[in-house]
Amino acid sequence: MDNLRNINFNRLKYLIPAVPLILFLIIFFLLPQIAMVEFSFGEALAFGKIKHVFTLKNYVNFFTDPFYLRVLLNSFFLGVAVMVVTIPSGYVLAYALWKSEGTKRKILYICILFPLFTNLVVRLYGWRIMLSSAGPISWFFQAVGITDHPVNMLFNWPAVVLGLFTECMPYYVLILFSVLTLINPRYIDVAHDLGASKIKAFLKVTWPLSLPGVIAGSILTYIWSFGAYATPTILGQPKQWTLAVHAERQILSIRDWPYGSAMGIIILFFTLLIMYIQSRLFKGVQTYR
Amino acid sequence: MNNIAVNSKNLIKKFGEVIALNNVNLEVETGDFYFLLGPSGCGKTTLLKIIGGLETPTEGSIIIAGKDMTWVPANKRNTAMIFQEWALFPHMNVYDNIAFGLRMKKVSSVEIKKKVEELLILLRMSGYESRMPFELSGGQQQRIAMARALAIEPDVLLLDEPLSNLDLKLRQQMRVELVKLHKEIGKTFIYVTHDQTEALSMATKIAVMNMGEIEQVGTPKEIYESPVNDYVAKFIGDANELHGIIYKKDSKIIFETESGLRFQVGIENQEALNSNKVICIIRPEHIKILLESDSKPTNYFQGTIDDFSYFGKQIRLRVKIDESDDILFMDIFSTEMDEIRHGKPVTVGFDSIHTIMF
Repeated sequence: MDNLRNINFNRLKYLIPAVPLILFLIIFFLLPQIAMVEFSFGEALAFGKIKHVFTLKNYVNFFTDPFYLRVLLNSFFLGVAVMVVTIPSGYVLAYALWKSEGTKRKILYICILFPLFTNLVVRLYGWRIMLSSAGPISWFFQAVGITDHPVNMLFNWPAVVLGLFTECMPYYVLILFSVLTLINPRYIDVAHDLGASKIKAFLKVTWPLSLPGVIAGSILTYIWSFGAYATPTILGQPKQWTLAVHAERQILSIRDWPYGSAMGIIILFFTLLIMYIQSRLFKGVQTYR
Repeated sequence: MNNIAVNSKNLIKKFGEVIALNNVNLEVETGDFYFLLGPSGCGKTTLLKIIGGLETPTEGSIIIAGKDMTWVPANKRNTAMIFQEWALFPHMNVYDNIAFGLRMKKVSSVEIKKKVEELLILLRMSGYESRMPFELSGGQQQRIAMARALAIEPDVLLLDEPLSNLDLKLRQQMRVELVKLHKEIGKTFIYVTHDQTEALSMATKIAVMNMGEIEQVGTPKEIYESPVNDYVAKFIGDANELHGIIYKKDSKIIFETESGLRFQVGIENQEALNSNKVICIIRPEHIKILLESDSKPTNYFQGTIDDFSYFGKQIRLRVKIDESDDILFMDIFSTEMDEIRHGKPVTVGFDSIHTIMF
């Protein structure tokens, strides 16, 4: 009987260091989420107050409003666009990192990780400067003779995609790289030995074995872009704002908490839906050793 | 028709400052079961990889079936390699693994099906087509690796310690199977190992390697009975090693160890007579425990049992010779001696013709 008590206690005590974190997450994450769900079923009153009734009005309004449906669609496409740009270029970078050695590898590491050492907003303002009509790129184009007037590359979809691309790239590269390092180089030796050219060996061996990394990295990229907030705000016009930005506006500017909360929940819902679809679609893809 | 399947000319391989292969001249005849035998780091795997095309030499050339293949990439050579860890493609099933090389050659799927089935029958793995590598045991993976290599019908099959990852019983079984397979398909096999038992029992020719050089090439019998130097003598089989000097006395050649033990030896090269440092090798199977009634060999001494190791069928005795500090070890059958204990006095002896001198 004594032994039993000892065992249970021993196990429980390992949870103690986690308690502060659990409390933090409950108070600052879980509870606000629950509150948001509750708000989304409420009715907006003046000055940001909420009438706590149960109504589906917010959701109905959202899905019948062509404006917001457009925003939702844009958010979907934005995710796809960023993915399309990130997947191949990130693969090249991850592959180069994988094949490099010694000093070259260290330099590549630093280049890839460097953006993560600076604050996102600061970086985005950096792009603001780079892409503006008074910025260095525009100057360069004029100097070389590609254009004869200042070029403004900001406040359009490409600028937003570019910003998100630079944001997601490091994570995609690192995820893919970690999967690539799991591939035993022996397999490529075998492929060559059996008659495969370098390209064939890549297509038949390296690519399939790296697929789990590509998928994991792409999903992260998609989710990040779909729910992006800072980049569309800083590099885009209202036309390019994603749903997340609109949710913030609803709550903080327009002070329609229920409507904004509903948008937030809709973002959450679609993010979870995407992750679910990924897990079903790619469940056959395992990480092999 | 070329009789030589593979040969290398003055092959040198350096990794930075380290010399992995130092002027290797290899000659493998077609149909040989040729073994590269040596300890870790002697260069045998590097040599194999150079033959297969996965490494390029620093200097020298590799000629396969009469053609200079030194700079031909691995995928254009007609060699196939089997690695120690077999390395079956983990994301493909057995059928696709075996078919891989054939698909690279753009063989028709009808042909491929036929070939894969043939090979599975040959290696006694029929019915395993749709299994994945992780579902197979070590021995099964090994056989599929063989099938995959044989599918492309290579001129030379290169095996890099393929049995090292198997347990003893399975290894012994696979050795027999490999020898059978070699006889059946008649291709040239080049096999790398550090296990001399494997080499002795399977090879038609052995090249004993040491630090990037080939010390001796010969049949297992030649290598074992007539080693050219003490390295080969010690690497193959067991050896009692005694250091000392030799001199002539009454038309006999006497060897005297550093601690004063003297016995008669037979030597083939008279040169050794003039050198001061001589090594005498005596194989344990040539030393016998002598009973009262036995006829005495050329040399015999009184000694005491210093230590013994039990190996089931045999017991290895270490006997300290009474008149000096030397210890000789020998093997006896467990049934030979009734009582074995530390300190028991025994008489041991060996013939002078069984001494190998360097």
